[in-house]
Amino acid sequence: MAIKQLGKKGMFLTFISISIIAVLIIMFTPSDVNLRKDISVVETRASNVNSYVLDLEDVYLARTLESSGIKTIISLISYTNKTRGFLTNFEANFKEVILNGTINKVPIDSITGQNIMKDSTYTNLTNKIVNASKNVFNVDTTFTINNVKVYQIRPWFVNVDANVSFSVNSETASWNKENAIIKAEIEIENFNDPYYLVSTGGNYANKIRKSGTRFDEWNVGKVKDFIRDGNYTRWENGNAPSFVMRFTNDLSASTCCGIESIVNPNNPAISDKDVSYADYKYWSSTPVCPNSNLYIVNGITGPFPLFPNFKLDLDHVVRYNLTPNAVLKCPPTP
Amino acid sequence: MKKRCLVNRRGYFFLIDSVIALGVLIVGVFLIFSMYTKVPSKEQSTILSDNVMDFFANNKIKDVNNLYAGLGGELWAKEGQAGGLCPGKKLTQNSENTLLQQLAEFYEKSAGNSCYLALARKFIVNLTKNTLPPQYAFEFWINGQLLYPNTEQVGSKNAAQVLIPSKRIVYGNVNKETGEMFGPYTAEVLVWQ
Repeated sequence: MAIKQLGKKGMFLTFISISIIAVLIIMFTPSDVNLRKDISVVETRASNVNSYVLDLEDVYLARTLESSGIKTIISLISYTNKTRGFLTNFEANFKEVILNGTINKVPIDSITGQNIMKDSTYTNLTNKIVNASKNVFNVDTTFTINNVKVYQIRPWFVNVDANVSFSVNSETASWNKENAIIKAEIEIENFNDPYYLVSTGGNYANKIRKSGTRFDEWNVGKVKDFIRDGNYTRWENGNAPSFVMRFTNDLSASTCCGIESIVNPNNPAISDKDVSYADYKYWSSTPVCPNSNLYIVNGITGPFPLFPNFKLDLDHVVRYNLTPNAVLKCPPTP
Repeated sequence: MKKRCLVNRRGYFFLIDSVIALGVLIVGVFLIFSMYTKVPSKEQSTILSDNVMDFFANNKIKDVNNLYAGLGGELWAKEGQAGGLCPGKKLTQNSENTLLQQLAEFYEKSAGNSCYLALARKFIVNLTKNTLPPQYAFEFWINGQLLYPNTEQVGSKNAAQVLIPSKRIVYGNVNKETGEMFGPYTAEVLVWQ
């Protein structure tokens, strides 16, 4: 009897001990219900959208600003050529064209007859990324372009700054950026000089191309090439206007950014005048001889293939190192 | 005598008891852990699709050492010539383009000539040769246009347990003379097992 009772107690004890151990195992076994995989998905999404936001500010907005800036300049050059008139306010006109594609509230493409600004304003290009980001990242992006400024600090570049606020909203997070300054720098080489176009009624187009001649390398041969190629050069302490000033016929000296070329007397649009043939002087100076101070240059002035009636003022004769070859034309020597 | 027999029998009981208990424990533990069934790893497809996309997005033409697609490669030298994929077309290599931008450029030009799609396909094939394990397949899309492979693998994708896309926005560099810039386009890489 005692043995049977003992045996039964043993069974129960065994059963209880197994149950306790099983419960302990279940309690301390890692549960499949955890948030780690969800956290990694959320983390990946947030990381991808974060990369998108950084790319937006650092790359896309700057690149689209440059793209629409270039098209705006081309449009404005074409506009001045078409209307045969200078702009009254380059900065205001630039801002209106780059944002809205209009000038004085009229679509600029309708005036120029070209589709330069069609779907290419800064507003258009920022809207394109809105659609793309919705498709790729399922985020809502909104932009507010607060202001656009255009200016020059270097002679061969035009700077454009845009003040943009944007927000990006996704399921997991949102990003807001207020008054981000987006910068673009546009090289002016290969643009047509609007001053030439307006001054000649569109008959003399001259592309801005930087001369490779250094300030101490000028001579008769280099000057002839310079005239023939229609290149531009920059003089420190020179008196030439900048590229932007040429849009408004502002021919005062630009301390930072003045560039000049020499008009080619062999171009049909150029007639003999008793003025310096430095471009900003040729169309603005009043030809008055004997009061002018003009020189012809032996080796440059002469019939084709030289340059008939070519003249320069004393300042430019000295700058281009032509003094040994220069002969006073106005006032005539007695 | 009777007592000794009793003691010996207890020993048997204890031994059998412990063996049974051990067996129960082992079965229990086995059952508990086998409840966590193994699902196909999502991570590897994700990693592969991200890797393929990262490779195309972060490497420039000048950075890749590839006989076909790299600087001075066969694509630039021969595919625009007679007998190439795009005869008579000027194929200018822009070393600053990323591989993804280059594909997007081919996609943009394909609107005028479909030979650029074949060029894009060959470009992808040559750059991704032997990079994916053989049990994986992938597709490369830009703006809803399949670039690789020739035809969409609908059946294979439907049969896949896990299909992970990696997406990027791609746009071009600015043409300094005209201001033209293509994009933004949606680029997508799908990888499945």
